[in-house]
Amino acid sequence: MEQGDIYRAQRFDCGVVVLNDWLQKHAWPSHQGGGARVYVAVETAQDLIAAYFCLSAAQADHAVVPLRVSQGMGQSPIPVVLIGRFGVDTRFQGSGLGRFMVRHAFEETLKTAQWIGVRAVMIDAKDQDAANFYESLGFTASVNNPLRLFIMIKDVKRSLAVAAAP
Amino acid sequence: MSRGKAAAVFTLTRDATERTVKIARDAMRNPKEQKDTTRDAGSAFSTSETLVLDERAWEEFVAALESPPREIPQLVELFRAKAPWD
Repeated sequence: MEQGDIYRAQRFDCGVVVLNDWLQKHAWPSHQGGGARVYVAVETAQDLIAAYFCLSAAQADHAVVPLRVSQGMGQSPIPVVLIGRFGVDTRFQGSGLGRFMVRHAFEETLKTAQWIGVRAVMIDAKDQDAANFYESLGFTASVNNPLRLFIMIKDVKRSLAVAAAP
Repeated sequence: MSRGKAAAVFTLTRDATERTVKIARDAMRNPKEQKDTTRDAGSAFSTSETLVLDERAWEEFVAALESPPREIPQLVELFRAKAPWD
């Protein structure tokens, strides 16, 4: 994201007010401050943001830590990358752009995973349609929360290697 | 190792060390960079989220972590496809 995207963001509309609002008001400060990295796809002909997502560091942990300890499971919280927000402008929905934005999120995460520990990518889908979309790309819905999905980095890496093979 | 080789290695190591120290010193001399780095690091730590998983979800997640890597056909296809910006 660049500073000029602040102005482009004002015309962004993905049909979800909270996602529009975040991009228009909070994305740049978050990006600049390092709380989240915001990635935008700019449609150059119309000079507008066609889609965006943000990535941030997160960790997955057990709800009942004392139980984990009592059972002798010494696992620490597991480092993951969180796709915090994800939106495609209504003018570009159905074009397949969203799939490539997810791919780009994976590519950026793989780069990060070369330098720091990352075991999985997680996302909280806004509704069941969104969850179905992520599942169609290989995410797995959590066993008792269909809107929380994850995918293992090792599986992304393996898929990329297979894709790159001649 | 011969003395000549050892001296060459020592010189290379010393040069690399001096270059690294200089980079670090220059960074410290630049108050803006120092401020930005500190702010970014602080921000990243303060905003890191914890996703809490209950018993079943945790077990499922750990099982997936421990399983061998697998290829995901739809992801393979996506990686092979040409993006609009490619």
